[in-house]
Amino acid sequence: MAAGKADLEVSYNYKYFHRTGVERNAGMILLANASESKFYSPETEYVDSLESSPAGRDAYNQMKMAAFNGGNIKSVPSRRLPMYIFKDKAAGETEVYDGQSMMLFTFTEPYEAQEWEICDSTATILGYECTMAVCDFRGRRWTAWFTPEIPVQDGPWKLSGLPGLILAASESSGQHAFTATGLQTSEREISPVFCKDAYEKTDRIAMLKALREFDDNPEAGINAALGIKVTVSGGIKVDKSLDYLETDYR
Amino acid sequence: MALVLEAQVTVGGTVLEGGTGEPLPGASVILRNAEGKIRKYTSTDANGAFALQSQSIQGYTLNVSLLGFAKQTFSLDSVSLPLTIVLVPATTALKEVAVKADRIREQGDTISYNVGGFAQAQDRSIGDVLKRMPGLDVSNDGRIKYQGEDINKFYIEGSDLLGGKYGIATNGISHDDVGAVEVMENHQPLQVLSGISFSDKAAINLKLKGKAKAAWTFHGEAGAGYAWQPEGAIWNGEVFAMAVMPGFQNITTLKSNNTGDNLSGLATDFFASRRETGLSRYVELALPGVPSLKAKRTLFNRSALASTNSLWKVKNGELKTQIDYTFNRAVAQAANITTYFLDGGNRVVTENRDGRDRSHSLSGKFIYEVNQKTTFINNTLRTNIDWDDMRLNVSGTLPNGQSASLPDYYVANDFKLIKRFKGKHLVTFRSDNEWESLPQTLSVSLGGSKLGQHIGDHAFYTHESAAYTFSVKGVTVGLEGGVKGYVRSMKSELSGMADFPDIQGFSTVVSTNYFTVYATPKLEYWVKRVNIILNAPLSFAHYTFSKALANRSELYFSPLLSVNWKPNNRFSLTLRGSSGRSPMNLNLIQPGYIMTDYRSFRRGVDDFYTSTSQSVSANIAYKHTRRGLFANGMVLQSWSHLPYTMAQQLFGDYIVYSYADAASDGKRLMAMTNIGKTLYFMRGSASVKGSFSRNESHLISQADAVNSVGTGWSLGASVNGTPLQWLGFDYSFDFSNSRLAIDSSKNSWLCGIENTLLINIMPHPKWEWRIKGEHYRNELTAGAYKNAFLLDTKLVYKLSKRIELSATIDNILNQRSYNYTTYSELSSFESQRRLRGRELLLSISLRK
Repeated sequence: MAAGKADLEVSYNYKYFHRTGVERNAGMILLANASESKFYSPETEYVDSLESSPAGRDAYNQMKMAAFNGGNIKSVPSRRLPMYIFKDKAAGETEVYDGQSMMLFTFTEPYEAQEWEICDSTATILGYECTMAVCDFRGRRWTAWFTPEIPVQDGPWKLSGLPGLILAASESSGQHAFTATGLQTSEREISPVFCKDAYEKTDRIAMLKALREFDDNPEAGINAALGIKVTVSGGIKVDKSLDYLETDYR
Repeated sequence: MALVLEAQVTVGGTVLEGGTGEPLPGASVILRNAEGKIRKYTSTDANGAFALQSQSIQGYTLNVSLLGFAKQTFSLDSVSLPLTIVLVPATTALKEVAVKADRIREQGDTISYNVGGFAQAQDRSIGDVLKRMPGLDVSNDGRIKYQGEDINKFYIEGSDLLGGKYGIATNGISHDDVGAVEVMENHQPLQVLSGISFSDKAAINLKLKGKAKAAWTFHGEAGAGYAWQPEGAIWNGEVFAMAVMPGFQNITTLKSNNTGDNLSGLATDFFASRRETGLSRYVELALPGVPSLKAKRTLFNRSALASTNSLWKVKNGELKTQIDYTFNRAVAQAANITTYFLDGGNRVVTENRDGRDRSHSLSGKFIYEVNQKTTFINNTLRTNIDWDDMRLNVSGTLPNGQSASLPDYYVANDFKLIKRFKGKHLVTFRSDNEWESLPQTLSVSLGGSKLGQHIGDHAFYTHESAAYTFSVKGVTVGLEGGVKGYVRSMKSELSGMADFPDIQGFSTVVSTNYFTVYATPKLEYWVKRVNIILNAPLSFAHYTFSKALANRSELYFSPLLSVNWKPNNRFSLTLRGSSGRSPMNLNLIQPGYIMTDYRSFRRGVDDFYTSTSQSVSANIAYKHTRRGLFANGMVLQSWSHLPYTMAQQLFGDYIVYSYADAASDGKRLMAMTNIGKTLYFMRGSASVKGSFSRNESHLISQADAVNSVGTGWSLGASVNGTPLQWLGFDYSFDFSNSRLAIDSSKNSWLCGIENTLLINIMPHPKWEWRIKGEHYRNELTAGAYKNAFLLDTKLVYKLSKRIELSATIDNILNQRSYNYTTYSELSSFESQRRLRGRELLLSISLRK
């Protein structure tokens, strides 16, 4: 996959729900130029960059130890949201890295712009006039707000193909939403994933099914992943109404 | 009804780059109807081609746009298909909103600031940008504080090249070469102590951009011009070279100017601990005071700095050398005219003072350090030579001339070894040795007579210690024991004092020596969110003095307790308390008279005293990184008890300062707060700060006890940002108010106000225009104010990425003096001071 320079850097807030039903917000970055883009979690990239070298692993372990001793283990960066979406329009491919902290997956699928229907509604986001568009994509109904003022046909996650940058997108159940929080011109490199080996090759449906299996029975999943026996008194509560960005695996 | 043709129209074409004719893939193509609604859209393929199907194109327009190119819009009514569209490169004017997730990022105990997110067009060095990052505070000499506390390390790409002299870097490294600034909270620089000893200080690490790594980077500036006062040529030049490579780092810089910037401060070691040789100057000659304006307005100087710093990674350790030379020559003039309104006609006393101070300083530091998980070794050799020559002439009613030569020679070697074994056991050995010589010569010519004061003062200090520390389940217990030895001798001689044949003691020889044995038990409790440290040093000291004083033995105990609570990542609270007895400043033991300037003498004590003091303080810090909010506050209360009190007495025209055998209690209260916040909407930040202090002390004047209370408070605010692509600003406001009350008579409050506004206009990417105004309003006596307004401007032309030309005019209004007169019932007082006049400077700056 080509590694060119971005023209544009956009930060998004990604609102989603942890399997326990707790709302979470993650800062995400989109680096894009006319033909390719990278949408990722900078926190995951930071951990991947540490894990990719022995010195980095040492530093990361020290960080974890220090935080553990200091009683603030939650402040240590982790792969809370392991997500990278590389869209390469010229090659017609989308390279996906996804999963959760204990199960990391990667696969390549054909690049696919959604079939959007442009509506009349408008809104202003970050000072840009945006137009509404809707589409159905892999089991969910998405509403997006894009601005023709920024001629980059891209957006958060796999969303793209509108005649302008997508600054906000949400799906109808309210479980997932992306909102741009900042944007600027950029010359940052669209660099590949640091630690590719940590991500297991699979295909999309297999990944979603594996994640479902884990989330439906997290104790068994944790035991299998760590090779130890973990029992949580009363069990880990799971909100069964929640689902992933794509639901067409069911 | 017209017949509608049900046929599809194909709007197709090719998009090409202007100039090269190359096809442009990825361009956005939008077809809009007469109402402006989007009907169809696509993007160009690899060949720059596009095709859209539409049922009608009547009244339709086509937009073609691509980031980095000027947008094209045209009506489809008047064109022939297929289209060939040429896009011309242009900067797309994006309404930028700083990318948030990246501007400040927090990872564990490390906060990372994106330099690009805070830099403004007028910034040069990384220090200029650090000032704008909330939570960080940078003083003019380059000293950095994080949340109100000094940092404990300054790293460049993880290596500590400069030690405490990091002012060279903050004022030298171009912000363009730095990608991110990392603040590491609770930084423990010694790997052997990791997990054993807690640090409440933060360290800074500069992450350089790729282009600044693994190669030498250079930048330089040369400027020349003309000044209206003092009339003549001015210059300002700088060369800065930096290499940051895996096994070698170097920073070398040369600077010189006569534009009011004293470069001596840049080589200051901010981490230097107090010299244990404990010598201080008796001669107190100083240039005439200057008005409370920015130093650049009042300093008439010639200054130079040469500094070279290298670091080599050798096997397991690092070898570092730091060599600095600074020079500063300052001149100052002052005139005071006092008129006494007397019945028999006015009496006018004039005093014109004219001084020159020339100081050179040469220092070298050679360090070998091994910083590993089980071993820490550091040997530091420091040498320092200062020369300070001062000349001060007073003409007018009481003419006199003074000149002083005040060199200083200092050599020190510090060695430290720490070994960690069996996980959490530590042994530490230290050996520190220092030697200093501080000769002082003061010559005074007064009404035909010549006086000469000579002082020879030298001291040697040695300190050897061993410590053992171990840690179990969050409790660290340590015991340090050692010995200290100190030998000092001082010789003072005053010649030409014929007026007072009956006073003895114009020549003195004193020696003050001590030998100390000490033990310091240390307890550190570190559990979850609380860290408690207790130090209880106990020492036995034996003092031996030359003839005049009897030898003494003393026991000192000075416990210190500190508690830090960090309930979460955002909040931190530290409480400290200490109490103890300490020996007096040995410089004060001196039974003779020493002339400190042409009209003052100092007489020391002829006995040995110990003082006691207590202090309590609280520090509180809060941060919310995602919101860019940083706040901190500090309160300190201290009490001191001295068994002696400073006294002042007049002998004819002379003032004699001495010490009386009377107890003196002092009290001090200090409070400070600082709040900083990012302003994302305009890529800026704002901060508010405040302080309060109250100082109570005693003095004996003409045999009467005088109680004085100084109270002061200040408020400051600053805001900066780039609200428009072509407009940036930086505004600050400072207000201070102080009062001195002596016994029950209270002087009135005197305030000072300072407003500074800088506006930066960038009408074109190559041009930049800056205007800066400074307004001062200083209260001289109750209700009488002195205003001063100074205006500067600068025009910058960026010839290329590497070359920049600029023209600066400072003090456009050519304000040459700061004069004022104050009146009382019986007299008037007129003060005249010079300011640097209008200055024109043309500069070229180059970078590699």
